[in-house]
Amino acid sequence: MRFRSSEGLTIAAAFAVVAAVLPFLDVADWRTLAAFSILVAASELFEVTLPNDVRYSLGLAPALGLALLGSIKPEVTNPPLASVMLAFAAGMLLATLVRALRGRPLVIAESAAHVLALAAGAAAYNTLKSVEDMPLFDIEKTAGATDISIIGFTAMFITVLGIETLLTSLRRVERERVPFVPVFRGVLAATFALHLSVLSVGALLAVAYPALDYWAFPLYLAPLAMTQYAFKQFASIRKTYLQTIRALSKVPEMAGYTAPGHSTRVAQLSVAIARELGVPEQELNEIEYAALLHDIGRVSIPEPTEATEASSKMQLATVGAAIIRETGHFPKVAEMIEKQHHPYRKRGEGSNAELPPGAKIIKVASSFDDHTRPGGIGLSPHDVLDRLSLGMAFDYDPEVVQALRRVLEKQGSL
Amino acid sequence: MSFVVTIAAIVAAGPSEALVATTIGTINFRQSLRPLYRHTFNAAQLAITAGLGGVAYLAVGGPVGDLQGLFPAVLAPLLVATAVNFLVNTLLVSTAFGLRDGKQALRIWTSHYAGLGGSYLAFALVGLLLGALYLEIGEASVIFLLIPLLVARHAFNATVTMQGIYDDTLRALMQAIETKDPYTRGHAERVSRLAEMTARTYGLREDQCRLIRYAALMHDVGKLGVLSTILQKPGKLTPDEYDHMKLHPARGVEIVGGIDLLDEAIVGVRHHHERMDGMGYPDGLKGEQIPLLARLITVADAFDSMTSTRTYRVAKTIEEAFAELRRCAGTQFDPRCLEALERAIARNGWEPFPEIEQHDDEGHEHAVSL
Repeated sequence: MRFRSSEGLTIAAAFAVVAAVLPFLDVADWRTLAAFSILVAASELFEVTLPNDVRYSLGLAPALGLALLGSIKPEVTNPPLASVMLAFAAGMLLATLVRALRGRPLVIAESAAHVLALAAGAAAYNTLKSVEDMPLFDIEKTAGATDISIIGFTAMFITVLGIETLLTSLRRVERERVPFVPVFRGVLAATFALHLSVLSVGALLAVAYPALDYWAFPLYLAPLAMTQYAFKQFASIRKTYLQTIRALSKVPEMAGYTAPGHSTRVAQLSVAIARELGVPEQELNEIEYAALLHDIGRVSIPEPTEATEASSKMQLATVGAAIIRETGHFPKVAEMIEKQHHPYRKRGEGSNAELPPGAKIIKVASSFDDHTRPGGIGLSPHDVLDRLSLGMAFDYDPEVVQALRRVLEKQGSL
Repeated sequence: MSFVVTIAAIVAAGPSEALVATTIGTINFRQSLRPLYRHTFNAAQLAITAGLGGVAYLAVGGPVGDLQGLFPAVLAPLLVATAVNFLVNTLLVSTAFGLRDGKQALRIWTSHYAGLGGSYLAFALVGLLLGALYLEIGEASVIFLLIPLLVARHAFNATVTMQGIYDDTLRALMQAIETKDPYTRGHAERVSRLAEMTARTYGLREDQCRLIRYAALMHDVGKLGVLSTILQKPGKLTPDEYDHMKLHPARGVEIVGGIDLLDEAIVGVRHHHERMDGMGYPDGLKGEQIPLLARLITVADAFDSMTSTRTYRVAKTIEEAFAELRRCAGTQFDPRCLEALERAIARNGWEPFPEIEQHDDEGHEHAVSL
């Protein structure tokens, strides 16, 4: 098992934190701790996969709930941070064991990240929970409300969200060698709601446990299960959509209208270039769809011929765009397909600001594949880059070509 | 979602309060007030449901408003209340739809609602949690529970939206792909609708009907690999040409094989040219060996073929088509699937593909008329 440096650091940090708090351990109430440990392990079984393969599991919820318990009903149980950490760590170990037995990925680095997030979140809550008692803040508590400090809760949320997002983004940046900021924003957007849910459910548990004792455990799993189910459904339909587009993008190939694998390669390259240019995560999907279907217009030609004339190329692009518009959705995808042959700049004018970046990217990527694919013109990547550079006056956007160069370097093709 | 409130109210306060809470909860200011009968029906059926559920709960001794004695006394009554609630609610709705659309209520129930029992149980547990929390800390309990529920609902809505987008995209792409041959334009869409109609009449579950809708939509996608000269040849095909044609189901599977959702439906694509007597292609499967999805698509495909004009022959009327199909029942077609198709068309009606006028086909079709 090998770890990348960011993962290794995370795991080391997690161990360090646990070791640091160990002297403050208090297991007088070991029954509660053990029960919560098991609950953590059980919650970890609820795995959610978000868009862009961000994996998430819900074991943080009971741990955060345990951290809040001391605040709500200290007479029931008031575990110090060390005990909460231990309970969580024990639960995570158990979950890892179960994963190993089931042959599922062990996600050790992710688990370590959770440990750190928990530590920071609980610390944030403890630090700020008494803020409300300061004369400066005078927040009215509603009748019958619990003693969960709102400021503390918010601080906990921000801390957990921040650390989780940061560590997840670092992992991805290291694994896929893509720029940090767009990935960070993408992960933030994708996990915001989920973290909010987890925290709420944790707070729910913290409130329910003093009232319902161990009966709270199976009950609390219900909203958790619902959240996971809803996200799973969404992830599933998105996956199906992408698979279907991929499948249908092979149709022009099968009919002999385009070279085998062309659409797939152009799509992969386009997404890589787009990432390199810092395109936000949410737009990457549309670029992928547009790239996969950029030649779909060709199915309207009666017989397969290489459409090489500029005017017929433009016409086919327009046809392709019309097909996409017929779906009633994805106007941006249609626009990218329509303008894939447009020059980025006309003589005597500046760069065309209305040309979607996706269109420029697909133009470059498609040209690259046409020149390098086996059975095609058969140039080396170096030579193609030179050729594209020659066309940078009007046809190919220099920024896109530079991004392509960086992508090829990272891939080791140059 | 109102079910959560119902259960919470029953546990915390009792059946009459539950009834009131649920009914008030049906008021939705964002929806327009037309048609009024829909809102009245909704409020009424939810009120009946909540009331009956509450009554059942009390009848088996469920604790009300009592936090200390809640567990484990609440479990069995909760189960009973959930079951009653589920059955009354879904049966009432099924009956309403049945009356409105002229279908059998029980059939609607089986295909649409029977599988929802599990989710009702999950909602019941959430409702129990809400009720218990309400007894413990009052109104603030709602806030904590609201967030995960709202998040879940948001994700669920996004899923439904995506589902619609999927359908639209698939249909548009398939339509575009078909335009190579004007005579088959719309064929995929029609076979898809026919097959889904037939599947429903046959009694398949809702999710199976959805699978067949997609599989039937893409059943001929493999034909893109077949030369136009063969596809549109007026006369009979030579053995070589026929062999070339016979590859299209397998090629179709190659194209759509990567879609996990359709794993079960792929067989519909691969085997839609099999025959009951085993003389079909590509695998020569016989009778029950042919997957049901494929058998359904086969009759839908044949029916639409016969009732459309092709380059090599004129369209038949619906009656003529059925006569022809019946002649081949047992040998080529599954009689039960055929019968389901006939009943589906009898019930829903069917507009065959309109006659196209002959126009010069000199390849001026490059602009897709959409």
